[in-house]
Amino acid sequence: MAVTLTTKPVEDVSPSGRRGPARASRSRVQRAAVWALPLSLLVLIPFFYAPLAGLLVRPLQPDDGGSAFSAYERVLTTGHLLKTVGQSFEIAGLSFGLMLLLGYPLAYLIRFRVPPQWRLPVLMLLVLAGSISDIVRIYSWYALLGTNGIINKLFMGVGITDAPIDGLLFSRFSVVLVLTAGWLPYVVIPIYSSMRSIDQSVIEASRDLYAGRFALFRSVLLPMSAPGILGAFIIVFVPVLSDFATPALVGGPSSLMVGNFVSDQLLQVGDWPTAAAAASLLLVVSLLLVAAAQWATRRLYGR
Amino acid sequence: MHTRVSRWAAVGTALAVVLTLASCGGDDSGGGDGGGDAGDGSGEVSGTLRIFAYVDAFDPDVFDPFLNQYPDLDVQKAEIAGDTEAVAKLKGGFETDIVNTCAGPVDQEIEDGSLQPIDTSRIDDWDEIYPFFKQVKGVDVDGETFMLPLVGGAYGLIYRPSAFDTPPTSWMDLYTADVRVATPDDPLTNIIAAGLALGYLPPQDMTPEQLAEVKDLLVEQKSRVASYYTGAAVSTLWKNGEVDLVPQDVTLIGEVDGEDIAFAPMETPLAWTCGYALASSAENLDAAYAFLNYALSPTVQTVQAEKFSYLVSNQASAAELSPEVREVSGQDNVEGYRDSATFDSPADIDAWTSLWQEVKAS
Amino acid sequence: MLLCMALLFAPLVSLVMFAFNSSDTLGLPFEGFTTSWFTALFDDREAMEALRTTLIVAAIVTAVSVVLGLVSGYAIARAPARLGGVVLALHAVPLVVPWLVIGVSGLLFFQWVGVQGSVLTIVLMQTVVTFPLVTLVLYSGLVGLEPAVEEAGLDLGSSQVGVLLRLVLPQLVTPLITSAVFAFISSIGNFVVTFFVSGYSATLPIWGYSELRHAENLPVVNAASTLMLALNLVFFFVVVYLSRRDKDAVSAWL
Repeated sequence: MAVTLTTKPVEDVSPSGRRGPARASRSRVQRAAVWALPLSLLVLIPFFYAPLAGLLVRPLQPDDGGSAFSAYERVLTTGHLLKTVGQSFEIAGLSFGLMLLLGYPLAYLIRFRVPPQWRLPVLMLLVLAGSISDIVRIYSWYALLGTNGIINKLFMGVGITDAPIDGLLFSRFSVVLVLTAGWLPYVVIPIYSSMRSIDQSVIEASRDLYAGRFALFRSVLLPMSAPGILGAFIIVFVPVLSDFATPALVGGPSSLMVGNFVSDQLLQVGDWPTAAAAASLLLVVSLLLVAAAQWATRRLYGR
Repeated sequence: MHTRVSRWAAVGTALAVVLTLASCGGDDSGGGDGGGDAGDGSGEVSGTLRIFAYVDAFDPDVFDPFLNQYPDLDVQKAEIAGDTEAVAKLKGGFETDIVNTCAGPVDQEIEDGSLQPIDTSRIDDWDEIYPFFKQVKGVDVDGETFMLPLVGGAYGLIYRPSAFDTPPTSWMDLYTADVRVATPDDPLTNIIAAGLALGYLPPQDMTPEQLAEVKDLLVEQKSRVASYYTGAAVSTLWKNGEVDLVPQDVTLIGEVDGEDIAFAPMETPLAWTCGYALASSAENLDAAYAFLNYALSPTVQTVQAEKFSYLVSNQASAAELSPEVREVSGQDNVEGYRDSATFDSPADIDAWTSLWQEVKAS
Repeated sequence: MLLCMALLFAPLVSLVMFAFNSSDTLGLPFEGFTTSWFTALFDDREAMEALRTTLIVAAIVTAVSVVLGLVSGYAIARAPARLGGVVLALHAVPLVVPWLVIGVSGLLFFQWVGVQGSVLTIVLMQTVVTFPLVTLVLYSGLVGLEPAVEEAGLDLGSSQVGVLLRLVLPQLVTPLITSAVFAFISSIGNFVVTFFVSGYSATLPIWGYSELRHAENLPVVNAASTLMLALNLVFFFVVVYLSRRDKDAVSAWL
């Protein structure tokens, strides 16, 4: 998902209480707007909502007889799939944690240390880093992490190790690393956006008050930037959770994720109902996660 | 107003870059010499031909003479990434005229109704095909031919001599040698190789208990597996030095063009055979048969033998090969492959598929 | 900061370096400088066809996304709040559903209606994942603008389309161009959704995905990616340039 999402709450655009002839044209503007509404739905409904509905229904039509719910049942009771789901959460959680650990300070630096006229170029540079196609980005890590890759050669040349390090590539480590690097920009940008509302003087004032950096972070920064963190969670965690290319290409044999299960069912087993059931499960989990994040935002900040 | 004009100038520049790039794309490979003695006349072959094949089929040396021979034909290509992918995609309704298939997948494709029989009277060199190739499962099913057998070879173990004190000698080395291993991400290769390692012949007849042993062996192997690769990714893995031992045939040696690589033949070789089939959704049969005849012709097969060290199925093609090429690919010993283990699908392929899924997820 | 930069840019740097390295293995040491991989790329019929498909798809997806995004963003911003809110939510869902799920649902859907994968299906599915973002961006740009001007325009007898083109559009130039750039960049890099609906057509990421599996082609794919990166860089400068001209508009939503 190579896009940034500026989440703004739905603002009320109801009339600001003017009277007279303006009112009539206001309603004409509204009428025009209402007429324009269906246009994009003409694309969304047949090519997004209908396929999604089809996906949910497909498991109910098993290929070789069987009961209507057998595909869903299989997905929910298959031990190795549930294990894979757990593994996906582990990998996505670790990656997202690492992204926050790296991305939060970076957002802070961009907001409070980078001169204003350089902020946009720096942010655009982040977007640029994130804009390269996933596949190419993933493969380019081969040259860095591989047995004869740059890191191993560097370490061996300097004398830190005398043989290539095991598990740099084709391990859970490499999956987490590659995911973190790939999605870092999309964590930094929403956090940076949320920090825009924090005034520089607030930081300075509270530095005088609290002294400690951690106290400053906990009492001022974190509360004010939490919507950004939740926004980052929505933009990043769900796609990372459902990734299949990264584990397939750099994961080795023990880092499978749900996405791999879905693509395996489609492209290896040829069991479309089960693939659809697993994808539906992923859909439901994703929507629940997003709903939870939004609920948390609203709950914490009343917006 | 001034600022807006410069903005549009900027956008215009960007667009111009895009359009320039777009216009230099897709120039036709015009002209070229005809394909030689392949197939029948090119007069009636036109329209669109869809080919769903492994990547070696689209190698320019193998494929381009066909395009040059039929300039009016619009050829659409789709690549098969993994052995199981073609089966699954065809089953899912993917439409094509020609599909590349092999002993193993072909059984499942026949069962799924994804293929239609080939009219062997329209294959010019049908009688020139070695008897061994005609016996491959899927070539003849109750008197109907579903696969035109074209090339083959024998799997053993490809290893990196510098990582071994003594060369591997048996399939069991794939599971016990303390080196980094890669195997293809498909149930047939893994379960058959493990079955051979455990001495169950033919592996396709293994009982559930024996399959349980196979599963243990494969799970145990995981700690040394760098990657379950798809398709030709093995050459990348090998070349980058990520693995030291893979179940493969001699083709890989030529492909990676490296020095520290050798082939260890196994006591029970694992023979593979691939060819083309007509999909049940095939529409342009004239073009499809022209392609089948082309693929069986010496024009193509000699290239495949020389470039990929494949065994070739047409005796007329084999006759054109140099003694060295025949030696490397084992062409003179073709009939000897009758005694090899094969990639045929077992009766209960679903059990094997789910076993493999469990191994991967364990 | 340094670690972040290393994580973000090391892959890009290695990508570009190996596109110019004369050895065809992705490992040290470097053997020498060459541009032969680019020549090989331009001689590769498949690659050029994939490049052309990629650019055609991206151009259509961008154009359609901007038009749809403009109309829907405007409609949502100016429609009665409740109705607009519902439609806005409908546009937000595609942005939070995993692309894998969208790709798979597209595959099943097109199979069900009997449509084979093609440039058309790629365009449709990419549009569906791209334009809602444009909608959101333009919507947030529009809610900040007073509708008074549009009302005046209508009072003065302009048609509704005329109002949109002459009065609304000029205020949105910067977000429009920026979202067009994002639509374009995200289209040329899209793999997941395209992968499932591409059929016989390949875009560069799809071509690269199959090509990368052959060791000898790695540098050619690197060359192609370097080219794409350069293209992204051009767009990057366009946006930075725009921001210099129009600071407020860009910083308002970024």
